[in-house]
Amino acid sequence: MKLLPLMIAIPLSVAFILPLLPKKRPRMADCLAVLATLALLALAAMLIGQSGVYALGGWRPPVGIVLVLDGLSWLVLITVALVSFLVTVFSARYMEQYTARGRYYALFMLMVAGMNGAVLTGDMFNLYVFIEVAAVASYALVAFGCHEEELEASFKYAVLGSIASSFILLGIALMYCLFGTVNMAHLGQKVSASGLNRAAIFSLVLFIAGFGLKAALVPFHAWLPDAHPSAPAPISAMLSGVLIKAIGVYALIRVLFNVFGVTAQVATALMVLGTISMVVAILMALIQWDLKRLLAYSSISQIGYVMLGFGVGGAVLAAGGSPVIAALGFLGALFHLVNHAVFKSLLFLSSGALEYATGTRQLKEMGGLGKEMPVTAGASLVASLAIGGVPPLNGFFSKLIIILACVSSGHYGFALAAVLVSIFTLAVYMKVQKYAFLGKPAEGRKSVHEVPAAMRIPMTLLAVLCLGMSLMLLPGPKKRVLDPAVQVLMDRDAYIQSVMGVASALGAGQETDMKIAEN
Amino acid sequence: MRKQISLLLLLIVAAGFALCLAGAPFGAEGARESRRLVKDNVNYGRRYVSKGLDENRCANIVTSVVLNYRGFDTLGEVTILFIAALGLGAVLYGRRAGASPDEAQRPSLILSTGCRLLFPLIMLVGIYIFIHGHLSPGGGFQGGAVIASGFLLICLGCRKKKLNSVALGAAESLSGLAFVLLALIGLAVGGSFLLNFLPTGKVYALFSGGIIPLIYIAIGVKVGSELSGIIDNLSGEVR
Repeated sequence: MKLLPLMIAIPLSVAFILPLLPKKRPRMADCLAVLATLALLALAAMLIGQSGVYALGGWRPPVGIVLVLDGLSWLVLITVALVSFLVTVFSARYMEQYTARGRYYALFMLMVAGMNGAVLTGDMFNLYVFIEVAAVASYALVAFGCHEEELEASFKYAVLGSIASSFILLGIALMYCLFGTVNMAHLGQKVSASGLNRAAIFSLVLFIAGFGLKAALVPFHAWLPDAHPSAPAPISAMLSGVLIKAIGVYALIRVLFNVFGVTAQVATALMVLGTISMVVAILMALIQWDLKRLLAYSSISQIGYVMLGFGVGGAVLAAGGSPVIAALGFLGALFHLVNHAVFKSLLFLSSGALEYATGTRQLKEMGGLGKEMPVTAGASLVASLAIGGVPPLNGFFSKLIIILACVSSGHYGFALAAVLVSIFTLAVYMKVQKYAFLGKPAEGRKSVHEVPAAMRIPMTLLAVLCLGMSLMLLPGPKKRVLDPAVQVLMDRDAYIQSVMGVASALGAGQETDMKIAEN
Repeated sequence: MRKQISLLLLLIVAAGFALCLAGAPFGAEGARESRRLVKDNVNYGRRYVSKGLDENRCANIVTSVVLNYRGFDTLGEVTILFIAALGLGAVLYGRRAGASPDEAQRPSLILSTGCRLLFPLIMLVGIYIFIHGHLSPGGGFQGGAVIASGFLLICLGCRKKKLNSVALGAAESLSGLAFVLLALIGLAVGGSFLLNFLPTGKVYALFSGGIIPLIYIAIGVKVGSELSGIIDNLSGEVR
């Protein structure tokens, strides 16, 4: 617990060191970045099963800023650490095509620092600051290639991202105005005590719109299909794999479930937004011929599943229904969130490998690559089957749990939509397999070689994870990893108590020094 | 017809916004209203004002809040500026390679001499502002901006002078690193990241406030070099 701030301090200091390294020795930057992400992964793994509140600067919670580690933040933290480690290993060879590697890794590290900060913080304004750190770094990374379409995509992303940020900031300002605090748990306490008036509900809507934009739910998704394909492939893997989850989905869920407390209306909004995203985006994915664009649309659709799971759980919780069914919905959503991070980053990495080898990302210009690039083809096949929901891969189980939660809570329509979208998803990925890896080579395509080992190894590891993560549902690992995260969403009072308990422990005679006489 | 419909929609949305915001308390009236709503009379603004002087011995309460109570936010904010400078550099880097630089008109003798005389004075003011950040209004961000304006003057007034972008980059990185290291020393010494571990001294003295003035110096150097770096990057295409 004492080392918790290192999750942010390590990537920050590495990001400050990286631009100082000699430009003629890009290998030094590679090594430093890989070491840093490895250290973060080790640190995150060490924190398993721990929980607690860290008061920065020694100030007790409502006065200073706190970091909160619990099951939910740990789950997202380890996912970010794992994906970013494998992506930096992949980057070492892939980014040889680009100049200015020091700058690339510095921006990458800052994005990781932003995500870790946003995941760990227990303070609304601090959440906003770290969301901006991660988002601004990602705007720069999307534009990294400096070609026309990349600059355009980055501009679009920056404009829509700034709109989202201003919604979030306005929401925080309104909440501060109403309740006089920005600490999440303290805010939650006051919301429970005084209820929500119209202005508070307005700020709730602002949060849904703002974080919804960051998570690219369907009415707010316009930036993602441009931004994610334009970035270099490792960055696409980070953006789709973890960024939209850490600063979009996770932040929204934390605010809705732990600060405001979920209501029936909010839960319905989540379910409807999730289902629309799921259905619309998969239909858009079906007609794409640009591989990375197809993957980007499919990300929106999968985020829809996650939101549907949270929505169903929230609906049951708000209606006072069976806690077992509510927990089932949350479990499915969280498991799918982690699974999607694994297989979508694998898919983006394999699309990067294809682009590295063939120089194109148009499906029609590939064909027959399965023989020439067996490792990439195998990894891509595993990920495609996982995202399509074929048993016994991880995607099958998480979708099954979400559908089961829908059925057992009586939301048959949503369950049907989830099943249908799953079939379409499989169709989309079979199209990728058919045009990229099977069949005859497209006319005029040169013969290619498999990508170097530094790129094959991360892909292989991720493919193994796609197979192995199904084991997380066994009672042992489930109890250690997934259940604590579900519990955080189920029990809002426990979250508030865990932070405010520290407040009273640190501040003896708290009541007297907090109550200031009115002039 | 479309115009009317969009106008109508706009009006409906505006009315909805007004209706919602009518419930939000603003100003003095609002403060009273929100205290009624919140019930327990806690006002963090007042808590910082009444306690800040004792707890940090830092005469400027704003600085005390920005760098100590909520120093972690400031670390993030400084980082965002760093990202903006870095990102701009990365985007312009690709463009600069091919482009042939434009020819700039040479400034007159009076202009360039005046700039050269003014430059040290501007530096002095900037440095004063961030060194005195914990005592008087101002601080690292403001001081840094003043310093960068000095470099901008040099760029405009004495066109032949080029900024040393390597040194600027080094100053930028090292000062950022200094901020993180100061925070980490707090972790090592007192077990808490960003802890104010130095003796806080006497209020209103130059050496007071513990690590607060040190952090503000780091921020001043960082903001100054970052903004100058941005100026350098943007003026890179002019010769």
